[in-house]
Amino acid sequence: MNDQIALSFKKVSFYHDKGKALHDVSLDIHKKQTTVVLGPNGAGKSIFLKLCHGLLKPTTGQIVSQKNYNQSAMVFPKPTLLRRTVLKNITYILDIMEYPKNEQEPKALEALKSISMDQFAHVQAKKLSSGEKQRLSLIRAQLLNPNILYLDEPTANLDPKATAFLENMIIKSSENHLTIVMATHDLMQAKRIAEQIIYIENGEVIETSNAGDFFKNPKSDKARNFIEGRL
Amino acid sequence: MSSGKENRKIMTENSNILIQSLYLIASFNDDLMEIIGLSLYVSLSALTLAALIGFPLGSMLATKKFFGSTLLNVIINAFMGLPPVVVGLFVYMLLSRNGPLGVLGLLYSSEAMIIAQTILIFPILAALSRQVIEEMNREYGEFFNSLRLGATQRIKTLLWESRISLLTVLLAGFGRAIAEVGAVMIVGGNIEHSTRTMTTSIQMEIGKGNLELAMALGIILLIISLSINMLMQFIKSHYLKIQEGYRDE
Repeated sequence: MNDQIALSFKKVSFYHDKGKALHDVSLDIHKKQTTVVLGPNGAGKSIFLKLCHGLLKPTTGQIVSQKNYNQSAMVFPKPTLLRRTVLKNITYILDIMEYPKNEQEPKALEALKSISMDQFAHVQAKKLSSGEKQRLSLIRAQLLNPNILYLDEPTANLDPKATAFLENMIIKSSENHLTIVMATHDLMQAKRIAEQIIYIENGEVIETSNAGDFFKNPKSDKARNFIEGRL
Repeated sequence: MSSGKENRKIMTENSNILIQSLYLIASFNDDLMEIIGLSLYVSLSALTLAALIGFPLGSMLATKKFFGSTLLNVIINAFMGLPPVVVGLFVYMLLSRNGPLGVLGLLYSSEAMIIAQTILIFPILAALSRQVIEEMNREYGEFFNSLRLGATQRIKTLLWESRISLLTVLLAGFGRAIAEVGAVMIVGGNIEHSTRTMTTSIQMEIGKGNLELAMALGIILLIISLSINMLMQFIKSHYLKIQEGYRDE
């Protein structure tokens, strides 16, 4: 496998109770790039991400990851927070990462400060607003030190201000050369964030290309229709 | 006319019994305190043992499908309604001199009562905790999978996340244990200063016509039962609300 490739799909299909969810996908995810999986609702974006992250196993085909590049983390559309304080939600992750006990709290506070949430350290996490919850989910995922970060429509339920904050966090991670794979159906968001685009429709990968080319000159009619809002 | 007098006499007698029983409680009568102390010791010990068995079992059934898990679920659900006398009989046969555990010489001891109550309430703890943890696992399952958590850490986290609900499960188990009479009577024998609990004592004192002590114990049992229910209600309405948040859910 090419050194620049983080993950490779080889003729991957996935079927669930309702039938075909993803069909005969072969593509590569590039290292240190932000790849946006774009497509309408129900296209198979979440399933694609879950296959990447290993939460689902392909029905046929295989997914090969680069050696020493299999540490991944995922942020879900609906933040899953533990029933404890914001600080404890982070120290829980640091505990999994086997951080020394006495370093966990300072590290957690530092992480919270970086997302302007240190004033919420001792608030019950479930009391946060949706935007704050998703910020917490994202920083928690980043603290897992992943090689690849999967983001499944992380701004789906957020207002524009919260969306902008989260996008800035994502762009900052991307600038730090983290490999990011993000699913969204928001065309404008894809334009703001993506370096690579994977366009999926009805469980089929219609197009993969770099973001500039995709938006300027899509190769397929389906992608063109989606971009022009004619879906 | 005479019937009216009789009614008044009965009412006066009952009032006297009530006053006497309240006096027994207020004066911290030694016999009464000993019986209450033993009842609490037996029921709290049984509760601890039942929780140590029931919660891990409930967690395992909630998070894992394995060979026989459906059957085990059915058995535990059925055992939630076990008649105490049947449990008493079972433990009696187990601990009697000719029984498999007869050599331990535990029959008619507080340990025998603890064993009986543990058997009686652990299915309740296991079944209710399974429901609580199953629901929690539905919420967190994918998150745990994404963290690649092992089974032990997953169960530990689920138990901690369910702690408030599990506390109400514990209280339900304790309520069942403390109010139980059939099993402890059979395996404890209601021996004075040794295995006499509140419920067995009430039964005996009524038989002897000593209604003051029976009434006093009844009042204490009622207070314990009411306190448990009030505590459960408080926990549900206060702590669960705090934990679950309120701003956007």
